[in-house]
Amino acid sequence: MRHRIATWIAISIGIIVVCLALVFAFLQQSH
Amino acid sequence: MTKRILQGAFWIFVYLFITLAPLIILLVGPRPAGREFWRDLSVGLGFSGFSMLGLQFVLTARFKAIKAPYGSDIVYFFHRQISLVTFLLILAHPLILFTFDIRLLSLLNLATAPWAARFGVVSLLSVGALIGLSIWRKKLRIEYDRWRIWHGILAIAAVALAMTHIELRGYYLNTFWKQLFWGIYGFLWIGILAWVRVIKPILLLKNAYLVEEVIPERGNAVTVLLCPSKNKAITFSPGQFAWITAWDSPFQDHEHPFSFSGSAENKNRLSFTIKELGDFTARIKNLSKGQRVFVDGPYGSFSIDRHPHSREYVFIAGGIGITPIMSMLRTLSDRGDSRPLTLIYANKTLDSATFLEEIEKLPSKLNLKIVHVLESPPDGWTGEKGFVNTEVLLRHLPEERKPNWFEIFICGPGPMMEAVEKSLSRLGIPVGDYHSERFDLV
Repeated sequence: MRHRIATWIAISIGIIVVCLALVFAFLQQSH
Repeated sequence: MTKRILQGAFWIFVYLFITLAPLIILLVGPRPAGREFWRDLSVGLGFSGFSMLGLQFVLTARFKAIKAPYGSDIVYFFHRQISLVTFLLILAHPLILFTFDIRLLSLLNLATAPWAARFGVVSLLSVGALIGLSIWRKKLRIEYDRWRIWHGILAIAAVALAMTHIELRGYYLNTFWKQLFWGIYGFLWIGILAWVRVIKPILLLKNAYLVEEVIPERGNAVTVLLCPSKNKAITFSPGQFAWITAWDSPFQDHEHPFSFSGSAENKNRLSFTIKELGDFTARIKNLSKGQRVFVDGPYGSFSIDRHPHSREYVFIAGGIGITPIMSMLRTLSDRGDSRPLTLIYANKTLDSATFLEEIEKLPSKLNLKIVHVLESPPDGWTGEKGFVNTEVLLRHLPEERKPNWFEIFICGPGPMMEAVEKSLSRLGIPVGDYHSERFDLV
């Protein structure tokens, strides 16, 4: 169970990073 | 429990912050002119992936504060899972570039590509090799020691090459402060490496242990007793483990994790019980009296001492998984603990049950119920047969099943622990009430 939670945390971090990379690219565009 | 969750959440936040720090820095102050959206997205993923690559060193640098809220096995498991996510993010960096500008595929030709691209490509290949060797180590029949050396070399190469790729490309490092930040960022990873590879081994050399005795045990195992050569022995909580180096210098990165099997109340010497499972463990029985051994520890949160207010303890051991549990039982015995205890001990045969004689004597000192579960029981065996399944647990778990009433500690082969965890979940035992320890991660 704890291992499943660790896997989901890893996947969530990946998703958050992709979202913030998108924000970074948008902000670069508005520059 | 709440404190642990808050600590755990804090480190996840720190992880995210460090991962995204390069992007934040790039957006602060004067920025280079914006380029195509997909190019900036690709760069954003590359920078974040690079940070996550560096953070892999932190996850395996054995910082006790980071491991405390989760337990060592979870941190290593996370290290493995997040490496796949990191690889996908780094891989997305060139793939996005190639998708939107097919001409950039020429960067893959190492003979003609600029140096920045060459470093980037080889860094990516190193990360791929790192992950491939870790996932398929056993299939490829690579010895653990050899794998660890290559894992270290490829990891350092991947980070150093990626760092050089970023510095050479340099488009986003357009101010002195941004270049300084990258310099400090690089030194941070080098500092962690220096701690792991140089400073820690020096400390271990200074505090070596000497082999006092090697005792053969049931189940093809041996107990190694160690006494400190200079200072006092390290103190540990029962159930924790340490990294052991024998025959080699601590600089050589040939260490192996083993649970303490002795009582935490015995402050004069350390005891480890090790089953013959591979190259290193097969040699353990050949350790000679007076030989130097290096002990890095203690680590791990698999311990009754993290749950001192529990009304009862239940221990579920499979084979050599008894070692951390034996440390807890011996410690409870030395402390004169009178709480009800249950030990469910699974083995192929009774003869192969390590510590059998000592365990059978423990009920004279402890309020302990022992349940042997045998895969191949002898004729006339009236005890539990087969594996530790839901029915066995239902028969022997304490009747009082209120949350926080008892804590369960599980240690054994991976498939057994997964099956037991599923059964406990099916029986409605809250996740926070059972704890497991895994070492077999690669």
